Amino acid sequence: MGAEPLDSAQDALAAEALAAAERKDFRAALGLLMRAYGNEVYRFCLGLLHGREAAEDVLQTVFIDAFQALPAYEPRSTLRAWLHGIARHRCLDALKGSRRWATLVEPVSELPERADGTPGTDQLLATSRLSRALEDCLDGLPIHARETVLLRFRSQLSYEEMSVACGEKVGTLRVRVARALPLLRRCLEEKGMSS
Amino acid sequence: LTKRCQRFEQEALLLLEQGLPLDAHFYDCADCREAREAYLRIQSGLRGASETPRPGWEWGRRSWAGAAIAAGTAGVAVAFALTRPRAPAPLSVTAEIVRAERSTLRSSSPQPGDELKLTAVTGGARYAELRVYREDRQLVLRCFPPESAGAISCSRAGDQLQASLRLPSPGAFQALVAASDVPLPAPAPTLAEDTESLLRAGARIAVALPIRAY
Repeated sequence: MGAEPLDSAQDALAAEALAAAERKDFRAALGLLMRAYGNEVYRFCLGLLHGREAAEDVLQTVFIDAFQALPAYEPRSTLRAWLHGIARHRCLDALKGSRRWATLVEPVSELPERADGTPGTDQLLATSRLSRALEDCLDGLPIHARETVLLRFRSQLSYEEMSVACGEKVGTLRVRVARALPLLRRCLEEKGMSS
Repeated sequence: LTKRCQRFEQEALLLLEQGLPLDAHFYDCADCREAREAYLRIQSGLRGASETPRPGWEWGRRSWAGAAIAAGTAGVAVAFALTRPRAPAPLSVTAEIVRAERSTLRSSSPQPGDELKLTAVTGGARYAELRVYREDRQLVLRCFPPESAGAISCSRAGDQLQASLRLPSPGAFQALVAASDVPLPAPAPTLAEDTESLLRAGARIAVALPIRAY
């Protein structure tokens, strides 16, 4: 997977993917989907599963599922929403599967503890700590809150797209996000992060 | 003890998620302003994760995944069948980098000029071949002893096929081994087309973890 597609490029790839699917060239459509959304779906899965290997495994499964489902795809929403819906199901399956995922968790590589005195390094350390603390706090959320927060802020889906991906009402999802954010803030404060 | 204002969390968060405007209180109240900044940082932190799957994830550790994608629905069935316990002797390929000697400081990543060494287990097949694609679309090595193209070395000893290649340029290098008891089809222009063609011809394939040279 090469560089991250910009939003406009992502839209163009998605349009190409739809066109390819319409002419029954599902292999080409899948390749385009992978380029457009591979990184994004991966990050969503990583947020839910917290292990690079686990996330990559699920990522592959998501796109194999997508490939098999493409012939029956009906554009009720966007391809992003559709793919995130598949990813959500696959991640939940993986989480339900067993505790074996815990064994696949890889620690985030540590930045050097000794800063070299430059503000850049301090900034990196602070960002890294906040990022790790956020991941921990996300883990502490109930699973449906976690997936909703990830879809909203990491994948940046609209509420309409989230509704398709989760099969829930927009209003329910808005409330869920509004309730989850204070939990994250409290958790960060408890970790000494004055968010 | 002073208690901080809770209105931002109790009211404003939902209003913002609904796309509705906030009233003046939320701009005048110091606690609410602080809360808003905190949530903006949290949202930014959630958005900012920049991890990406490793290059070549489409071809994955599961050798069937990329093949299945390349070969279509029929390929899915074929590839799944290949991974079942009743499958014949295992087929595998591993790739490793041997660093070129240089006097200058260099990064820890593979670079052009380094040697890519491949070792494949052919599962006892009569015909076997190692192929390496750069960026999934440029065939840079073929090894089917005694013939080879693009290889520094290429040999077969029993069930093992070994080849090496000098990395010619930056990019992602993907090795695959194909094996069959009937002659293998000639390579196709791209990795995806090649795997599709091989599977259609009844060959078994396995892919190595991709190597990226910088």
